[in-house]
Amino acid sequence: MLEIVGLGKSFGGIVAVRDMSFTVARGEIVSLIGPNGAGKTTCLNLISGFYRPNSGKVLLDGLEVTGEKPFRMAQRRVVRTFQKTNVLKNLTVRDNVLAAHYLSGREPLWRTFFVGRARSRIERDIGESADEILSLVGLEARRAIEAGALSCGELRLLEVALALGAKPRLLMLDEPAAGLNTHEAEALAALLRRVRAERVEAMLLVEHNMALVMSVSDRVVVMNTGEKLAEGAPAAVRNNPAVRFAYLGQVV
Amino acid sequence: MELFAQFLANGLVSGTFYALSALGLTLVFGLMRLVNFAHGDLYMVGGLLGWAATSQLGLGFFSALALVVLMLAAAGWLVDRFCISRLRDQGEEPGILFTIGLSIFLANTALLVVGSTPHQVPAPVPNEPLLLGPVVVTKARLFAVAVCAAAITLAHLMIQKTRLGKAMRATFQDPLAARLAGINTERIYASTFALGAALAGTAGMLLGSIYVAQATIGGLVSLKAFVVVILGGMGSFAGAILGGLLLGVAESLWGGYVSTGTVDIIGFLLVILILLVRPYGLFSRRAERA
Amino acid sequence: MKCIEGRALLAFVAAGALFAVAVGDEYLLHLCVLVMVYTILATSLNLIVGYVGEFPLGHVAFFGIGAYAAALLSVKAGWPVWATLPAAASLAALAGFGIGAITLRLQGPFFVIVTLAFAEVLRLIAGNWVSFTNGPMGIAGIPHPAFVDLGGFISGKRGFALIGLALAAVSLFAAYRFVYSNAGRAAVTIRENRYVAQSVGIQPWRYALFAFVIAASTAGLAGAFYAHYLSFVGPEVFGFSFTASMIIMVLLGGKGTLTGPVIGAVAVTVLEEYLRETKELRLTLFGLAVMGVVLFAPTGVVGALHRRLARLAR
Repeated sequence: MLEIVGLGKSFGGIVAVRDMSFTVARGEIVSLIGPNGAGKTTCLNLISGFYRPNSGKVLLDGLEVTGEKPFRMAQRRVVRTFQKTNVLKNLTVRDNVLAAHYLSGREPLWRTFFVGRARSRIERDIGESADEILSLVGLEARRAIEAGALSCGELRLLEVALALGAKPRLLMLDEPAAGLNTHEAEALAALLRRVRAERVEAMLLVEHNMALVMSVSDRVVVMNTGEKLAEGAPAAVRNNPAVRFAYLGQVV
Repeated sequence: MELFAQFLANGLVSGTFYALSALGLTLVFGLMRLVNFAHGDLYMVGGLLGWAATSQLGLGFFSALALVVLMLAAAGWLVDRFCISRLRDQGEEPGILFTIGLSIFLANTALLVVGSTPHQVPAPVPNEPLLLGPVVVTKARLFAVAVCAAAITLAHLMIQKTRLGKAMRATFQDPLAARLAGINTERIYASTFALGAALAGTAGMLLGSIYVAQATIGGLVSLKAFVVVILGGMGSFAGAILGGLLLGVAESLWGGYVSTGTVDIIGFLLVILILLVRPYGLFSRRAERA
Repeated sequence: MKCIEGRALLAFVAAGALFAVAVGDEYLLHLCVLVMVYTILATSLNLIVGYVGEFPLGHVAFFGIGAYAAALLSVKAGWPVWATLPAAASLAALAGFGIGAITLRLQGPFFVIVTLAFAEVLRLIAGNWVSFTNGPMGIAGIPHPAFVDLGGFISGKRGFALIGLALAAVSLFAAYRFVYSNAGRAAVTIRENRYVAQSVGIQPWRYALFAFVIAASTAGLAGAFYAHYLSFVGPEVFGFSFTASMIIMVLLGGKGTLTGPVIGAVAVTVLEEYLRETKELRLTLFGLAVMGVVLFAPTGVVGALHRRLARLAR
């Protein structure tokens, strides 16, 4: 479904990503791992359109979408979350998820003033979808709380909820387990599996939490200093000596 | 050709004035991330205080200047300490709105107290013309240019070489780290704002001896200062100087070759043009967002 | 929330109609007209401040464009009022599109300054282009709407008050519809977090520009109405006095709400008239009020009410 070929990005003299290629097939959860500074988030930014690649291609279902603007990628149902928490802090949790349903309620501008009869039904459907998503991620009890007041774990869940509101086919999560304790991370893993089964067609995860990666991924791609180091099933990658060297600095 | 040289010289002179006028503004933005819309009115207050000190109290030019600097620095310090400090963690907008209110307040209080009549600060140097090759400059203006240059140099030295200056730069780069290093950031912010106010007041009094000291000029001075700062890049010391010179020369050439009545337009047109092409100013170091 | 605000706005329009019909005193009707002009202006500024999240210090440019458009179309081209009003609003909308397309790329203080630059350029042009705009002497003799001069119940100031009320109702309706639409929600999302907005498919410029154009056209409408009311338009229509009033109205009433600007408009009109003798004192107090509101009540009257209501509801 998603194919990256020879993707490259430099910032001034620094090469952040070099010749990255991998695929994400329908139904898969692929994790992108690697030491800090390996270029994982840059990859995500390149795919989702927040950065323009210097070289290479991004293909969605065979169609080239390289360098398309972020909102266009989202309109193609490729939705991402962010590494640093990005939610609408001043809005309530429920309003956050409602806001994410923008695409479901999209209408031509003139309709703003000449409201048709269908509008109230669309609004109701959006409301129901938002409530559904909130209960899926487990935040329905906190729906009226301002997002800025949530705890770290809850914020991560809200981010997933936001992304789900945009009804993605391909969901890309940037370190969804950052700051979560073991228990929360396990709950997240279960949630991700449910999301893959019920809501999205494929997922790409950038993650440091190895337990999470090993437990949900179908395939793992390892990056180091901007390049692909290894790729394969989780267990195979874990035992790969080059990967261990990259992480631990010595052959173990 | 001689006309061009004269226009150029006039432009460089007024450009130096613009540079000093805008310096306080760019420093406060660069070191505090605060856009001070009352900057022009602080200039105005400096001018009127300078006029009052010299013509009403009979002080000499430099004694009056020292008094103006002290008073505006103190006022700036107090305003920051008691008002602006409350707004610091709320983002950029409250600062903008507060200083707009301050500007309205200062301008109209001055109007209430002194009325709208223009005054002039008596200069210590006569207005006689001086011939420098093909170009004519008055002694008073040359004196003002010299004082401007001195003030700019002093400010530069203060920020680069003194402990206070280093503390200011540290606080700007990372307030939390500065605090951890033992710097009292609240005092630093107050000092920075005080410096900005003092520079504005200095310009106001100095240029009040060349142009006017009048309660109504704050708005225009602010606008011109913003033009300079945007041209040169907000927060850039060198940018303020370059931007000032650029504006001065542009206005002088436009006024000389096109029309004098619409001279003010050139600055605004420049701003609009520049911001279209480079949204953060000509020499700004800020990278464009993805 | 939607219902409460909608009902409050309807109540205001009804109260305004009642006032205009029942009151006979010329001075009070004049105040009513001013309240209407200010309501439209404040609502219009609030669309940008509250829903785009930026502060257009040069917003008065659109007020001025509308005023001059109405003046020029009626005095020089002989257009009747019912044609100049929509024409002025359309012209202002067009200007809004052009200026917005340029300025909305910028944020924070840059946006503030460049919009101010536009307003200043327009002021200088209006004051200097003597052949077109009569320069500093302005355009006089702008005609009244026909029925206002006929005598009878809805003539004179009452006629103006009713027209003003109708225009205010239109503006409030436009704002109300915008705020509670998908477009309005998208604008809020952009304002709150541009990255999130883009990641859920919102094209940032589109909705900010949309809000900007709506705001510009309503400000232009207010300007045109004002021109026909005063029968005179000069470069001061681009001046800072209106800007100062607009700022204080939106801040005092509460930005980002629909009822805030209305409350602000009423309060400021009353205050201005009360202090009309001393312009400097009025503005000095305005300056203090702006500082005070920013320091102590940043969400304005309506914001404070919201919080009070929310606390009661819990």
